[in-house]
Parts: sequence; structure tokens; C-alpha cells
Amino acid sequence: MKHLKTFKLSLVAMLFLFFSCEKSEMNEIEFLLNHSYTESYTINEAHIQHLPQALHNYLEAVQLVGKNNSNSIKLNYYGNFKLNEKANWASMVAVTYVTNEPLSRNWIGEIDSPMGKMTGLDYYYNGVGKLDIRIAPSIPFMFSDGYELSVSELIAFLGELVYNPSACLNNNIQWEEVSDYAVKATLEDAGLCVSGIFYFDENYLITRFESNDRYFGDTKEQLPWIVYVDNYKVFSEIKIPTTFRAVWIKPEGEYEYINATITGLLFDVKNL
Amino acid sequence: MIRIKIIITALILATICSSAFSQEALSKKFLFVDFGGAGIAASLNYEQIMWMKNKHSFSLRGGLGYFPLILNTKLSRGTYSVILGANYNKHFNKHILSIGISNAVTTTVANGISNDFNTLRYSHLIIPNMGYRYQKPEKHKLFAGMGYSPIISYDGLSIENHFFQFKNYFYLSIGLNL
Repeated sequence: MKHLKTFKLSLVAMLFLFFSCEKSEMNEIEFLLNHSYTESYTINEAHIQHLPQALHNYLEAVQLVGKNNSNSIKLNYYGNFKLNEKANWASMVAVTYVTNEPLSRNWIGEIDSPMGKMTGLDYYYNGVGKLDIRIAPSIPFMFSDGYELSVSELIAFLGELVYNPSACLNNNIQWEEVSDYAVKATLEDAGLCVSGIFYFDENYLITRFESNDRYFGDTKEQLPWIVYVDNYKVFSEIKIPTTFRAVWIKPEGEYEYINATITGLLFDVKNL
Repeated sequence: MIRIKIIITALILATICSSAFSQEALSKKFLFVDFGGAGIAASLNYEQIMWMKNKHSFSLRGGLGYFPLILNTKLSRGTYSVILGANYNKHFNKHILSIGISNAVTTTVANGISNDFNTLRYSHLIIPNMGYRYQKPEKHKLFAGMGYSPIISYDGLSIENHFFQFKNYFYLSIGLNL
């Protein structure tokens, strides 16, 4: 009987501890969302007239003009992911939180790997990018950081402008016309500088984003990185591509490592 | 003839003594290493039978676990855990079936979103287990076991605040009766 009582007490203590543990990383992301701020205004022609014509046409085509600016987005999607070149496709669900001022990006993905479900966190804030892969939601087993990763994470922010068109008006992005259907974006943040080119179709919708600045995996080798986007639909009153796939251009050919379908997009989010 | 009787008597006495000695030498304390299980990668554990009747026993377990972290492709600091658990065991001579529950308080030297957030992070896992152990009851005998020990957590990273997570997991044990 004495042992039974001890066991019951232990069980109650265990459950209390289990449910009361702090959700630290998620609190940090929420902190960034809560502390992002820009003055709210309605985007009009005057705000976009200085931009290259193709980008100007794009912002009109996606129906940004006449809408309020947004300082953050929450993007949900599902799809397939490859952990490395030899791996099979694994199904994945993910959410990305992006803030424009201050610039931050947090990607959380759950991947059904051969080792079971794994959780990943890709984050960038204030010039620092990090990749954190976990075998369980609180048990990290692979962690990566450094200059190369920070650069790569900042380029991901640039590539996601198709889901965050308000950020095209950010002062830290410089735009340059490449052709009638291509514009180059150069983004500076916290001492880092990255660039890439957006390509448009005849309706001035973005079809792909290319950058040569991104570092491949955990190496110091920069390879061309392309994100193809397609199937535009209206989400939260803005036209966005609902499918995308990202590839590395390796000497031996294209290596596609992610493809996904958008399931939700919210603007100006303050909470997770 | 007398000589044979003495030898037989000596053998019988030796057998009785040996049997009595083994009864005294039944082990109720074990030290073992788990690969997988509550320590995630590995753990060093001590277990003690607190109650035993017929072929049933109840034991408590304490341990220290470690899970390494690959940091930019190099092995680095990882996750450390303190494990406490309880098991019900059903004994079939050398074969033992056990079912129980452990909880592991883990700590990770974590890097936050910015350096302001770098901190020691604590987390808590509940690890139910059911398994089989081949274990002779005498002291100083090696034993081995294996089982299923899913990891249940309610913190860490999550999509849409779905913190409750269940992950299939397994363990292999090698240990020594003390």
C-alpha cells in the first residue's frame, strides 16, 4: 500500500512536470512576431512607382495595390522533402513565420524520415542563421550555424517574397531591372548582403527565383539555387503561387529537394 | 564403500549448500546500459526491486542519459537527461517481461534565435516501456533485454501549438546483477 501511494504521488508529479515545461523556442518566435512593427498604410501607386516596371506590374497583378501593408506573414504548406541527395522523398508539413522589420524568418517543419518523425527549425534574425534538426521536438541531434548558413537563410527570406509581397517595399531591398521580365533584388541586413533574380511570365507573375549566393548544404560551396513557383490563387486577398519546388543546380544536374503546396497564408500575424 | 558414501554425502551437502548460497545470492539490484530508450542515445541506469511476491515484482529505476549533438558536422555538446522510472515485472525463471514508465528531465545547451536567447533549456519526456529481459536471478550475472519505449513530449518545437508528440522508439539493454 505504501508503495502504491508513492507510485501515485510520483505519477501526479510526473504529469505536472510534463505539462508545465516551458515552450521556449515557440515563445521566442512569438516574441519576434509581437515586436515587429512598421507603420500601417494602404499601398498605392506612389509607393511602387519607383520600382522596375516588371516588379511594378507584378505587384499590381497580385493585387497588392489598394491593400494594407503587412509586416509579418505565416505560411503553411505540406509536401515532400529530401534529407540528402540519396534519400527518398519524405512527407513534410511546415510553417514559416517571417517578419519584415526587424527582419526575421523562422521555418518549422515536421518530416517523416526513416528515423521517424523529425522536427526542424531554420531561423534567421539579426545576421545570424541557424539550422536545428531534432529527433524529438525538444531533443536536437544536428545543429548548424556560421556565416554560410546565415547567408543561405537570408536568401530564403528573399525567395519567399512571392508570399510576402509587402516586403518588396522594404528599404533594405534594392531593385534593378535585368530585362522586361526579370528584376534583380539585393538585400542587406545586419552586415550581410545577398542577391537573386526574379523571373516573370507574360502576365507579370513570378515563375522562378534564382540566386548564386546560397551555400550548398553544410559546405562552403556556392551553387545556383532556384525556386520554381506556380498555380497562382488568391489567399488573404493577395494572389500567390500555391505550389513551389526548390532545386540546386549541381555540375551533374538538377537536385530537387523540396516540393510543396500552400495551405494557408496570413498577413500581419502577431501570434503563433 | 564407506568412501563412496562419504563422497555421495559430500556431494549432497555441497548441492544443498550451493542451493542455499544461491538463494541468498539472488540479486535485487542491477546496473545496466540502455541503448535507445529513455536516454535517447544511451543511458547508465541502476534498478532495484522494491517488492517481490511469487513471480511478480515491482522495481524502481534511476539513470543518467546522453544524446550527442552533431554541430556543423562535428560531434559536440548534446542533451543530458536524468531518468526516473518504475517497472512491473513478471518472472518466468530467467525470462522477465516488464512494463513500466520512466520520465526523463533533459537539458540542452541551446542556441536561441539571437544570442540573447542562448540558454540552458529544460524539457521533460515521458517514456512508457514494455520489454523482455533474459536475466538469471543470481548475483554477478550479465543480462540483456530489449523493448519498445515510445517517447511522449509536450514541449519543444511545434507546428500550430500541437505540442503533444508521440514518437516510436526502442531500446536494447545490457547489464549486470549486483
